[in-house]
Amino acid sequence: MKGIRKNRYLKAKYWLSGLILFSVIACFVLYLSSGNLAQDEAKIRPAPINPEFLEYIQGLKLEKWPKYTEEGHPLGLKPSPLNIFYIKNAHPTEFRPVREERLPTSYDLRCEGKLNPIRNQGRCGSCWAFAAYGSLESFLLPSESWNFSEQNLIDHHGFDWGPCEGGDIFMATAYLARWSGPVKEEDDPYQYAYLTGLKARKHVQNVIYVPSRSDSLDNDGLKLAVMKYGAVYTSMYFAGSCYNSIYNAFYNKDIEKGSHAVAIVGWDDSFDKTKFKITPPGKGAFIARNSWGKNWGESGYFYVSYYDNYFGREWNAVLKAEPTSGYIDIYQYDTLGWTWSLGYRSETAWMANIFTASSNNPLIAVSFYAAGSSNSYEIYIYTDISDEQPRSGHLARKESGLLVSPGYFTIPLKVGVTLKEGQRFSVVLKLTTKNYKYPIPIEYPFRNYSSRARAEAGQSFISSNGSAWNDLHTSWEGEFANSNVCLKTFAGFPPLYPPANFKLERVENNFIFFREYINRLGWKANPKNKIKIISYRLYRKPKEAGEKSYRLLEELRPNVYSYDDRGLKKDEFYAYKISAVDELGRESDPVEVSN
Amino acid sequence: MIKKTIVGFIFLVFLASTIYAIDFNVGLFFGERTVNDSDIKYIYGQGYIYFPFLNVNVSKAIIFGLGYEGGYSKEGEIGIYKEPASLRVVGPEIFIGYQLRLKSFFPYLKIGCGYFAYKQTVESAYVEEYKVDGKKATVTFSGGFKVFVLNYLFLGTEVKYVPLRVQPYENRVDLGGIRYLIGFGFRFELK
Repeated sequence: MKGIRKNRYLKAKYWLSGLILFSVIACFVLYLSSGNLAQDEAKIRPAPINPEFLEYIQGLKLEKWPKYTEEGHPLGLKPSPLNIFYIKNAHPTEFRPVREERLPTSYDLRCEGKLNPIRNQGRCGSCWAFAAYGSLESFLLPSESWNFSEQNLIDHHGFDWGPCEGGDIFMATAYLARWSGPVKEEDDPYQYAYLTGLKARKHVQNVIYVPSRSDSLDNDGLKLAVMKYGAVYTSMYFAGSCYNSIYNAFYNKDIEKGSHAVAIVGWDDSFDKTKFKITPPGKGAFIARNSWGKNWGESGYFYVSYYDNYFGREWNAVLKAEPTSGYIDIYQYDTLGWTWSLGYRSETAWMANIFTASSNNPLIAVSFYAAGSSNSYEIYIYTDISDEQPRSGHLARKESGLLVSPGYFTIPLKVGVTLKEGQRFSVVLKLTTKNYKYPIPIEYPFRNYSSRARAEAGQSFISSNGSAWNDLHTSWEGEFANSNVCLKTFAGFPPLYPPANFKLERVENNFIFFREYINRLGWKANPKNKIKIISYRLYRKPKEAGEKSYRLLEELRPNVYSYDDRGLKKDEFYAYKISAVDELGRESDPVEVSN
Repeated sequence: MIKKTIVGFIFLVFLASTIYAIDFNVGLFFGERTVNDSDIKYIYGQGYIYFPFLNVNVSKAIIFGLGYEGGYSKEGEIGIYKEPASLRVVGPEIFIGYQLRLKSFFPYLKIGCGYFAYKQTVESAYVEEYKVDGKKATVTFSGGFKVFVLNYLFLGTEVKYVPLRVQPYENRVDLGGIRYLIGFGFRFELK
């Protein structure tokens, strides 16, 4: 009996020892993992804030910031919290001329059909909105002519400032990237009305931030951007004392603070330096498009010296747009976009957002801000994830690539990810931003700027290594409780583009005794379309009639690229629109031509 | 209206002259006509015509007559779409002339007035409203000779120029041209 008892005692002793050992090991593992988290939390660093922005916020009550020039012209550029210092002297590949490429000594978008008529911002501090749309509308021209509503942009940007209190390019980017706009000018004309529920006519999926000039002759990046995309948004300091109204020439010798936004539309390397009020060290000037009406300057345009101390030396941007027919669902938390950056003292960081599918549309693209002059990324899509674990569940897609300029980019996935309504999925991004140790773009609620930013637990996560994650809402003692990672994703189908090179030629058909007049239309298949086109729809309206007068003229087979509108009289003129229809039954945005 | 009046007047003169007729000729000439308008020439080309006529000699030198030019009815492909089309130019003519009687050789010169009908049809739905179907009076100039191989039978040849400019719509078109004719006829003596 005693032997049996002793045996039982020994077994119990071994079990107990094992249990204690297991507990110790488990505690140790837990300790280590919590230590990792703590270490991750400790390592996080926010990017330096733009001192100009801090100065502005501090000086708000004193109203030190100029609202008008001495002559009474309205300004409107306000500093962003984002600091540009790191990108100066960076020359991204995208805006570096190849050795054989020689830029012309002069270039003017006014001669290229890439500019809309000059607009007038009135007494409102909305130059930034006009400059932003100056770039966007120019990008779409000459094939598509749009007039977007600046009023809707300044009314609905969502930031703390009122409609006429100014703004910056990041406010415009945030408004456009979240699909609040652009809406058409005729839907929301330039008069305060605060119209809501208007339809965005384009999807702005890419905004390229063209690096600032590092010195007076570092102009190739801006010049290449103008030639490649059209008008470039830029900021400047404007004062009447620096402006020679005889030659419409501007040169700011000293001031390093922005107050006005315009668009660069060309340059002239031989612009005479004596035409400026104060003679700069050398010749040459950019051609800039202002928003003070066509009675100002050279029909609304003016020349800014290459030697200007601020012009083109802050954020410059090119805004690009796509048809709205592609992406149907947008998954996002960062409605106010990029306001600050975080990093782990490294050029590389991980970030993730967890979403719930709102439809069965496949996930086909991911967008984010990349701050470096060169940025490598890895995108991971996980489906059926568990809460607060961005990389749990099933890895549905992984893609990687390189971006050769800073900006807001949308990356189409090579293969879409199937989703079911209600399904939880995560978008995980590993981003490396060259020479910049704050690769995580976040929407942060800055007081007097973006204070309406809101976030909840379980939305945005960041990590230094992709394995230990911090929820932005719950970590760092709530410092980032209302911050989200700027990482959007899109569901739907590839965008559907209108036909390319839509042209109209007036042809006379000679019947000896009389002539038949023909509007001969021609177009090409748009190479950007990745989905099968089943027809082209051609619409017509009398030239002077309103938009609503368009009527379907003909639906044409997809292999037909011309149409003769016959039987016209000598004085009979029309405008035409053509759109592509794909196998999903979607109709593209139209492109328009007229006699 | 003035031209129609002139044509009517000449026709009356012709009728009156038959009272004084010493003989009259009946003949049939045929030949080819040219086209002044380069577009018509390109699309329809030149064409064969016929010209039956009756003329009265009121003296040894003066002749009055009337005839009908027919036969020019052509088809072609018109316009940048090469659509089927046809053109017809025909019409009656009265004339007055002066002729010499050199034994059996009768040279003559004539001036006349034609009233030509022209009609173009184009098989195209896009130009249905354009109807080219008009008439126009014009002067004619001709010269030739007859050779009497028998007392009542002659052979003849004639060159005739007809200017005919019309403008039914915006384009002014020259339907005129030169006719080269050859033929035969009979003479009937009345006195």
